[in-house]
Amino acid sequence: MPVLDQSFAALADPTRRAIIARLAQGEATVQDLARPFSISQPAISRHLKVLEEAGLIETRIDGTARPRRLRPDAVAALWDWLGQYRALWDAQFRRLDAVLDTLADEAGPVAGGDPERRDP
Amino acid sequence: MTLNLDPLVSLEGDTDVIVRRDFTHPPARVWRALTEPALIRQWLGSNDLLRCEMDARTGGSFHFEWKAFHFSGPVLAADPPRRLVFVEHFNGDTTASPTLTTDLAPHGTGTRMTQVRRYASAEARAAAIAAGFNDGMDEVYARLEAVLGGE
Repeated sequence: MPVLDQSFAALADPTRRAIIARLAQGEATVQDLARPFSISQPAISRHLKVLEEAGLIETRIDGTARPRRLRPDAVAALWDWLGQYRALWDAQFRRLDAVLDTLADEAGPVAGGDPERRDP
Repeated sequence: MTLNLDPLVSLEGDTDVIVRRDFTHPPARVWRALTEPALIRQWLGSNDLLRCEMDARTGGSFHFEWKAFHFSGPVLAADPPRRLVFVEHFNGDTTASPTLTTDLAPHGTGTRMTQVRRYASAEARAAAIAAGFNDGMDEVYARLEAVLGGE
């Protein structure tokens, strides 16, 4: 299982996140990966090394080709890591709570049911 | 009555992402907040939301647009205040869009929301999760780095 702290550092770079997003579509060679970016193949190779050391991708040996692919457990690791951002979802739902409170204030207290229930 | 006020997010099966969250208000009120554009704007992001449209009727559609990206799609089914089903296209790409089913169930005097995001395949779900790291995350990273840096 990839180390999450290392995953975080690896993913703090937008080019590396773009590489991960590309590899989620399927394996790709360094040449494939360098094409959409305006940076050199050696620079891409350095990014790939960081991602590989973080345990997010792996290299497949296919004759002379060395296609990279996401490690099978990488998505699960990314997901766990994304759990750190639950605070962001939490913030959105808390704003929703506040909207609901406002609606309740507008409607005023009404005994015996929800005053906003409207039958179609 | 136990309320889950922390959103519970889980991967289930090969294709689903499920979000569960309770609200202290009844389903009819939660339905309004989820479907009326003026209310959606208040919790989804009032300042940076450029376009906020939602016609929450079966056959309707929605469109939420920020500066750099937008979500839009058809409303497949609406059964107020119980169930809303829509397809969510990201930036107009209709090829790998999840179907979102939001169920609101009475829970004590409040509401239990279960939202299932179902992708067409395990690959589509993996791509969406990976893409989540690519789109609009810079600010998030900057914030987290600031927090981690303060330790």
